[in-house]
Amino acid sequence: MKYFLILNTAVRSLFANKLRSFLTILGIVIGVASVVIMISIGNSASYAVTENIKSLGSNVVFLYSRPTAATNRSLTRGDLEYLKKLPYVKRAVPQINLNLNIWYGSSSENAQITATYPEFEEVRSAHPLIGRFINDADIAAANRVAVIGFNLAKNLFGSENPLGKIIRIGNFPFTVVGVLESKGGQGMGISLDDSCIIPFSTAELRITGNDQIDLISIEAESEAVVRPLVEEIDIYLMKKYKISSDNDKFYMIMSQEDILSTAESITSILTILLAGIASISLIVGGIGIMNIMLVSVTERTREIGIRKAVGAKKKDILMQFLVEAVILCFFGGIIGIVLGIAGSHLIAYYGNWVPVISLSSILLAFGFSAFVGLFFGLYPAYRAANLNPIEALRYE
Amino acid sequence: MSKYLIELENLTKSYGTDSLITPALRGVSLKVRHGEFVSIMGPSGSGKSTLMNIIGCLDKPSSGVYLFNGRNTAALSENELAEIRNREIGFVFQQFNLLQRTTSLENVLLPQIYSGKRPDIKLAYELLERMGLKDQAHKFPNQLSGGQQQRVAIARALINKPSLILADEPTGSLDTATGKEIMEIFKELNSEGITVILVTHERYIAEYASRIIHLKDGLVESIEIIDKSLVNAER
Repeated sequence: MKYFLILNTAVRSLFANKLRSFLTILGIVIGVASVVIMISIGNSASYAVTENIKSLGSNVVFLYSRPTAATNRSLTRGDLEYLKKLPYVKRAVPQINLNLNIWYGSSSENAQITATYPEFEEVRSAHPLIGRFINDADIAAANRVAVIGFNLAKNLFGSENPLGKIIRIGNFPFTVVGVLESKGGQGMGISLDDSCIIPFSTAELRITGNDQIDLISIEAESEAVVRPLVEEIDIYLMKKYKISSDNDKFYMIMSQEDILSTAESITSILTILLAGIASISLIVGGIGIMNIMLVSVTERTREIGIRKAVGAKKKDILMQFLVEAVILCFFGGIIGIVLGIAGSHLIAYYGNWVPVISLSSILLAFGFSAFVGLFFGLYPAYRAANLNPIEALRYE
Repeated sequence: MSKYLIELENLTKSYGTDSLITPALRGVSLKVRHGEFVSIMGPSGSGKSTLMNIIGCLDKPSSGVYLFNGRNTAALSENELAEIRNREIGFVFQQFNLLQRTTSLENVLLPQIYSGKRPDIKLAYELLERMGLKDQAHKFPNQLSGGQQQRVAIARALINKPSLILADEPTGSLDTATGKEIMEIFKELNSEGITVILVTHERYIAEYASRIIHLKDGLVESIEIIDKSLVNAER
């Protein structure tokens, strides 16, 4: 009964100053909503990246060229041929990555050019929507043909049919033979929708003029042999190029698992960072509450005096003001969570990704706001509880 | 139960710090029996309010002994003093001191919030009815006249069935006729056995009591006996 009365008193005094209470709550609402939204953005990014990486397949190993300060050596065709002969290797698909402008008529787009083999279609499930993918004949003849991504086709050609049209990649004319299916918004990372695929031999012979390879995607027989395969490739390359320390390695071997854990650690740092920034606004909201509670204590000095005269103990007054601060935060927290969830969906809708709202982020935001209420309510409540009743009664 | 409700022995109270001490009470001794009606008079600055605050357990004396119903208040904690204020003493102020934005009924029930008991709403209605405020129970203080507000305050003072009513210039903000009505209420309550101590400036108000204590410069100047049949005056 007593607690009900304390609660009743608190709610009524908050309602007596509706506008003030609302403005005070606003700080907490914004704080909690931004914490929920920021954590959701972080989680969504993490989800999108993770899904992207998982779609590569758990039995895929990537071997990258990574020029060091000491050498600008790259992986070569010789390395590729060796890898292809290893047991457990089902397929090894090389790739040369170029960043060039593509022209059609007067419109131009900067695009990621990937020079590769027909197997790429299977490894990355890059299927053509219209036309065809590059084939073995293209490789054999080093044909100047290109398969372009969905977005690229849209941007360059608009409503025109791109098939058979001549585009210019850098300074070289290529014939468009296919357009890839749209993969949809893949959130983060380079999407196939924005890239252009040409035959490996064409790039090697007609553009780069050397046998360097940027990336070899290796498909192992099964997930179980991925670890030994990674080790075997590493030992082979170290022996072949006489490399003794990790610092001298001009290549990097990553399995899907490695990429996944790297990506997860990056996105979790991102999430913590975003939530940290958002929680600053929650603290600012808390200071607002403290400010208003201090004003309220001063305004109600006489009331406190009356309450003390009729027998209120220090802890009764302390509770009364603390409960008010916590109620403010409680309502602010609930409204903030609702707005945060709505905001996360809205942002996800416009950002074209999946909104991920975890229960833990809601509990965190809510718990934090309750803590803010307690922490910033404590000092004003303490001041109220320690008012001298005689002076309080005399206060005008 | 002690013979006296209030026993003050050589009570002093000073305000201020070491360098500048202002004495408000300089050695007051006074005894009040259960069921007495006592008025305290004196010019401003005589220490009336300080004495009331100490008797009301809102303040502590600098030296001397104050026994409330035989209990030495110096030995009581802040919480125990709050309990005495809550259960044993009913305050009535010049400015009524009702909570604004709170109805008459809720004002009357206020002390019960702090007594840890289930609020006795029936008793609160009875008290309001007795004060002639049956129809004002759900009105707010600013909808009531001064006399009505003071009656609400008296009802509030009575809700926990106190043994002492402390009234600090209860008629100071009221016109003469209303002041007399309020004094009749105190007289009636006193006749039911409640001890009443009253501070006032007005002679005709003070004469409702059986004794008038005259304070001057922090000391009891004289004690005037109004109704000898009721009281054996004692210092």
